[in-house]
Amino acid sequence: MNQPKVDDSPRALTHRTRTGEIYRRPPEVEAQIKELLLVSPGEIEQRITITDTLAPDFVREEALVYLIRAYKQSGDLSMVNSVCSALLQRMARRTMIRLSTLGPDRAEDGYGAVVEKLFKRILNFTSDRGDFLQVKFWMAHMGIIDEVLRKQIRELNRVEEWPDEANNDEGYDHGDDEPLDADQKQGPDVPLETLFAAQQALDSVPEPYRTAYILRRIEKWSKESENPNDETVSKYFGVSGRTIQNWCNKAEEAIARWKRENP
Amino acid sequence: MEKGEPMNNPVEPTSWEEVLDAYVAEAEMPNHALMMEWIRRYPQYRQELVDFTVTRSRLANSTPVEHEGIDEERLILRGMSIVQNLLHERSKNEAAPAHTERPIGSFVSEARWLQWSPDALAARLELSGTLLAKLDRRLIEHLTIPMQLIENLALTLKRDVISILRYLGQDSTLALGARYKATQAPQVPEKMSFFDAVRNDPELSDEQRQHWLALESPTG
Repeated sequence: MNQPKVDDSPRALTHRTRTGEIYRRPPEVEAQIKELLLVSPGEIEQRITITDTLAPDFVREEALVYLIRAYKQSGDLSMVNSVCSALLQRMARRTMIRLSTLGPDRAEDGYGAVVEKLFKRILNFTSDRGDFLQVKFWMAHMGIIDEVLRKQIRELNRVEEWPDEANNDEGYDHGDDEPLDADQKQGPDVPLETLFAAQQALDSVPEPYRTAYILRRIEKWSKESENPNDETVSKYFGVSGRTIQNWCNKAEEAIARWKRENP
Repeated sequence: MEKGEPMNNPVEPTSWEEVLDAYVAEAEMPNHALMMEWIRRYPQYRQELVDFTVTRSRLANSTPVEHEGIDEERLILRGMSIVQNLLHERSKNEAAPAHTERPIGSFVSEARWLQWSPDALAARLELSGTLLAKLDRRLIEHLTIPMQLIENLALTLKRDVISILRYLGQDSTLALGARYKATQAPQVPEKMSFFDAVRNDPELSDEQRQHWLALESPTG
């Protein structure tokens, strides 16, 4: 008996982790999918608009992704639109807040790019690119946002956009790096108010000093290294270690100034 | 297309998107040591990994800004416009939908229509003939059937998942062609859990049994 050629859709998850395990949807997501595909469109439309994650009828985003694909494949475009709209409703504000670091105009552009990337993956039926969205939606969503941000920030960080003084390699050098102040460290023991104040202080630092300071003092990257394969702060910015030192000093001055002005 | 074409089913990610998904899945907040480890694994994405890690660090050290002026309605409309464009683009490149409106009579008859024997269908789905027959007679509680099997049934029979689930969700049927001598009408057996059926099926190989039982949720 001839076996027919199998087409691409619909399909189970096939994407594998690096250790070779096939991605698996959380059991509650699978249960929601099976339950929802058999109820009336009216009931589905009512349930997918529930945003209270603790409500018993709340539908997880991973299940919404699946529903979009299933309705698309069954040709029910009205339900595709309803579920897409519900998913957008859940992610719009969260996306914009994450993108807010770019400023309002660039954030709006970024939002469009995030939506396009995300739905391209959801509606991709010829590869397993969208599988991650059915397994850990918010993690995948955050990855897509940060990838959009990565490109935009790289653009914003070009040396010519920095203040003139940032390109000046001279200036003062207070010596080597000093350890962090207690209230600049971040960890489980730091009270939230202190952490919030430290972040606000850091927000007052202009670029590129701020990122240099974060990488060097908080993330503990090396200032420079003789090993050409190592990633250091000076290599990231394409400037000398002495310049990085000066930038960190300027960041510390800005933080100290903010603290004086906001006791 | 970005660097590195994606493979159909790779264990090692090959495209930047795949590497990024795996990187994000490994650590929500990657540190320098993890970044260096990933650069050693994927030197072709050195710049992307560095930039991405720096971006995450910057965001982790920023105060989230709650803009009062976020107009969610407008954002949803803008998003829907992008979705509509994508759907339109997809519909231009798509062949006719795989499914038909014809209701499913039985899985075996669907398979025959596609020139698959019942044995070939069972083998393809990693089921025994008995388990396939139970599914076909809807003797299995459909909510216990793994999505992987439902999706593979849809793929193999060229139907959409919703049609398969609707079929599985109907009432059980009696065995086709069985003869009943009793004077009373035969009783249709109660539906059983898929995993109980797997456990009690002597025809399944150990490998097949393990495969299905590995999908059983600890909470049932």
